[in-house]
Amino acid sequence: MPLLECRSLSRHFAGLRALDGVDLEVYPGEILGIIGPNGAGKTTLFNVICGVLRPTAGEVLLEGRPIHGLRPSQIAQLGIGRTFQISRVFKAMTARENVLMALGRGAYRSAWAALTRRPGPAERRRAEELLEKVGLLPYADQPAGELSLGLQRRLELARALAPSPRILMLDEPVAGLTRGEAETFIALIRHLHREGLTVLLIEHNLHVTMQLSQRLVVLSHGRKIAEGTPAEVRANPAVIAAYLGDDEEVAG
Amino acid sequence: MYYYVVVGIALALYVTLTLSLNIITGYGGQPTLGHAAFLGVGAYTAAMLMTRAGVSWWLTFPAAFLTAALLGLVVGGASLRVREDFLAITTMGVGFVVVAVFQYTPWFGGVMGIGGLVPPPGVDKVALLLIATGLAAFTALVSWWLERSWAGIALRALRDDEAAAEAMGADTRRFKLLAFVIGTGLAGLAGPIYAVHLGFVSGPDFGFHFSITLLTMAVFGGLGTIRGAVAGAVILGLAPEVFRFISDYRNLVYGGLLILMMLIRPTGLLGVTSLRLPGLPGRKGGISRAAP
Amino acid sequence: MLLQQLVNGVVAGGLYALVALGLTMVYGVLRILHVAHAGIYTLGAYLGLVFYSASHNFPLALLGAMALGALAGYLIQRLLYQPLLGAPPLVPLIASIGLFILLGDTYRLVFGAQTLAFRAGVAEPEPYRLAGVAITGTQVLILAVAAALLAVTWLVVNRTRIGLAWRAVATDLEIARAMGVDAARAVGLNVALGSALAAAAGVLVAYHYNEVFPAMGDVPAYKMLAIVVLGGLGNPVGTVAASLFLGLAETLVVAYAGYLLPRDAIAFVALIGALMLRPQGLFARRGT
Repeated sequence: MPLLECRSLSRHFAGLRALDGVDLEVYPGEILGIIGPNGAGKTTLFNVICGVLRPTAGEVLLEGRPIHGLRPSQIAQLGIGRTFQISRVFKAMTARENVLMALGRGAYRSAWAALTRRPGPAERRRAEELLEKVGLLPYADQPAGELSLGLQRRLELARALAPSPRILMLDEPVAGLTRGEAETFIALIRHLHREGLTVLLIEHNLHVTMQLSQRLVVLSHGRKIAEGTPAEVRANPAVIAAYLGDDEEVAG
Repeated sequence: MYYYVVVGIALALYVTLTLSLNIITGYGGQPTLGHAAFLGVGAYTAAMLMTRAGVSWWLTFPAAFLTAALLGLVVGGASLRVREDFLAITTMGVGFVVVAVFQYTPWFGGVMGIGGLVPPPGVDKVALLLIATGLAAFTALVSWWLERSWAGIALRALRDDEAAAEAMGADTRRFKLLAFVIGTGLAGLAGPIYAVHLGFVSGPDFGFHFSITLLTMAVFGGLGTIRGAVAGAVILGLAPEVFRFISDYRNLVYGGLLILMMLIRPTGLLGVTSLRLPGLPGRKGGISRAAP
Repeated sequence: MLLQQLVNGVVAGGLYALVALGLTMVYGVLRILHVAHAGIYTLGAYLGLVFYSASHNFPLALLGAMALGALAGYLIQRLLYQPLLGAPPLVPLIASIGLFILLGDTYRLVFGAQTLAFRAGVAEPEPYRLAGVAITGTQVLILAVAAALLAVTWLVVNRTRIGLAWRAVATDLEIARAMGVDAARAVGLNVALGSALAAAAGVLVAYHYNEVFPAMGDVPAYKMLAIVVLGGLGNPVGTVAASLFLGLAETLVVAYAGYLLPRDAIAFVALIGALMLRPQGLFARRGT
């Protein structure tokens, strides 16, 4: 059974079909990449799954349970972690506090619990472990807003991993990073994947997606035009046509 | 001696009110331009219960907390529906309407307000000072606890970035409401003390200028910290006493301070750094998108 | 009787529109709630008084107050708002409130706390009567000036290069820059025009009620913000519509429902009700 499933998912904006009947399955333990030229509907798909947007039609299922229409916080509570395309760390908080905040997921379920409970030694230790994992321990007490973009991305990753999500959704994680920063990030994702993490990756950069993903789904104009292994997708004429229209190279 | 006691009561009330405003605006990042109205609701609750129902002054405290927090819940509800620009205006409007209701409803004493409010026997000015200081200390304690709780962490997170806070599983509506209820309830608690300290309550006393005074204190000291709120309330509360001329040019001084603080040090004297960082996300168009 | 109230309501609405339009224009390009705008309104009233006392020429007083009001607005933009661009919205909002209360106290210190008469010794002429409706010369003057200024503003916004620049800046600053718009200058001129309108409203109100006092901007300060929000922040047409709506609503409520609440609280009752129903403002376009 797929961990996450989208069934004929559509989202329209005033006549524009940003997403038009997309079917999609994410299986446990895989890295699924979603690619497509600009305006293909990748970010819309991401936002619908995370609850930022409501679907116009269709459904999103997490282990068979519908989750569309829930608030982003409720979807996060169910174990879907995410990062943002533009860095959205809590700028005024330290790196340590950023991760700690994400560890409060259980307490945030009720106002009373959040009010009466506070982070204890267990959470502080866990925050340090996560910072260590992404290589941010030396920066633990710096305000997150003062970190470089590459470090902010890694901090977002640590934050998304903190409550042990069942599926991690990455929205263009290497956009804007230097080559070195991107390589570090990719190695990190590989490592997490080997530990059993399920990842849904949205990325404009084909090199990165082809390297990381076991399976790819290709979107164009809101529709799924291809699906398969990176090799299959690379050989698919429809994909090449879609990308050529976008003046983008397909070959990795 | 009496003079110092009276000034002390005023300072303790300022500290309580500024700390309670700081919970909403400092921790939660929700602008509020009508905070004095919640003091007014608490003070009127006490005045009405004492004069109309003969309720003991001591028992008016929980009632004052409840009525102010209830109104806070309503205003907090508005904060869930509107953007922060709108919210600033809504809180200003609530302050305006509350004052108008007190002033124009005969049941609330109309323009004359409600007078003849005296503390129970045995509570002289010194005792009132102790009670007011106790309330200020209690408010500081609540703030201290809140800062360290999961709720406080969630509030600071949503002040920085609501979408990210949601993605971490924190329902931002729940925590905004929590900040409003606690902040306005604490302001309401100051009401019974205020009522018997002055001996009367009158609608216009809880208007826009008082609200701006409280905001100035919090901003001057530094939003988001207990020490900032206390320092702002004490310094600006004492200033007109120490420098007599200030009370003649109060708005000139407060206005100038607000402008200078915003231009030079928007974090206040002792505040957190978040206000200094450029650009909140989600503001489309307009020149504010440019970094300075 | 109803017709009379409608006339009074439209006159009030026209005055609101003059002040609120400047505020909404500033919000459109700067995304700042320019609370100090009401301080310019009061400045306009005092400047009008000074010029009128000196010259006894009303058009001259109106134009002089508008010119200096525009200058004041331009300076506020360059000295206060420009350095605060990019800060979280709370920062310029607090600065603007600070400027507003500072201006109020400055007027008190310069001109005194007492209420001054605008046209000392000149009595209001008999109103014109038409089909049972009394309309004073001042009301006609207000309507004429307001209509003329609103028309000029519409032309500037929609038919000139600078208006195009404002709309470009309001939509997307980067694209505006790419088109070669000098954003700082464009925004400065925008605030200047808005301030001229507020100053004109100040002169007209001062003339109408024959009084000028330091706190005369307090009530407009709250009320204009309510109107601008009702009109859908940054939307000029919605703002004019909301101004007329509020002018009529206030007049009619006071005339027919009696004093449930003071006239000046009606704006906020309407505002709070409207925001609960339509959080994006009554006249807001989708997506703005």
